[in-house]
Amino acid sequence: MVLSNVGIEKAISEGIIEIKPLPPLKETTLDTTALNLRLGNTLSIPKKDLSLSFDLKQGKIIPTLSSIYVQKEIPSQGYPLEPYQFVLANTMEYISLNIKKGKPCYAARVEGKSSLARCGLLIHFTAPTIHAGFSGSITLELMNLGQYPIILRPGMQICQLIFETVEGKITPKESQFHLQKTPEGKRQQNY
Amino acid sequence: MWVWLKCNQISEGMFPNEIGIEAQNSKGEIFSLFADKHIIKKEDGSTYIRTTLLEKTENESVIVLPTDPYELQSRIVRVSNSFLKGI
Repeated sequence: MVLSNVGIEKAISEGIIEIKPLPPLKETTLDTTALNLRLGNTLSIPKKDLSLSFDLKQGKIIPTLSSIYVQKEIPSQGYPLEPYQFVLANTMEYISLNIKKGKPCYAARVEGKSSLARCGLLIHFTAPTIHAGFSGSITLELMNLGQYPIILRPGMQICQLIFETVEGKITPKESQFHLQKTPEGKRQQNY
Repeated sequence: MWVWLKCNQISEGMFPNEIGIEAQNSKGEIFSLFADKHIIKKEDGSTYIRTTLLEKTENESVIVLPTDPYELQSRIVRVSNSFLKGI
């Protein structure tokens, strides 16, 4: 079940959904069934023409990712995202979907905004789900699929979160730990 | 219920508000993830990340990590209680 604006406010007031800094909860922030989030101050821009490939089995993914992106603060006049350019960004807000015993539990989906989509802006192209227990700001995979540059400014409303109720208790299942399948279909034991 | 998992910082994050950390599960396998600085604390010379406790036994606990680890296929992991604080 998707939470309404009243349901979102209630979950925030109960501390089950945490948003920091919490934007003023008015019509422009809180839609009927979504919370609008703002673009953070920093973009993470991939370096070009490096000779490397990602292999999750080899490890060292985090140091590799950190080394091939350059952090750039978005200037006050804005950053022009060129056609077909890809950058990472994050939301100004930190989100936490807390799992509390005896309380409702929520997951969320990050979605784009139609106004920006009409300009060609993609705010994610995979992994839209924010799972119960998540804590952090939301990473956005920005890409301009349009024909003209799109100016990105810190604090602009960039995406929306739709919250859904999680039915049933979250409990570890043995199947989550044993004989999980790899993307290639092989079975592997996590631990 | 939140518990704090002992970890090591391995790199800066991709944004100013995050860092890259690594920790290990109960089989000694190392996993890594990006974590928001909001949920990192340093105490007694060690670094800890905030996680959610799902189950606890005498020696091990099952926790939910705040974001996806790169080397595992689930955010639900079993860890040794000796790496947990606040349990």
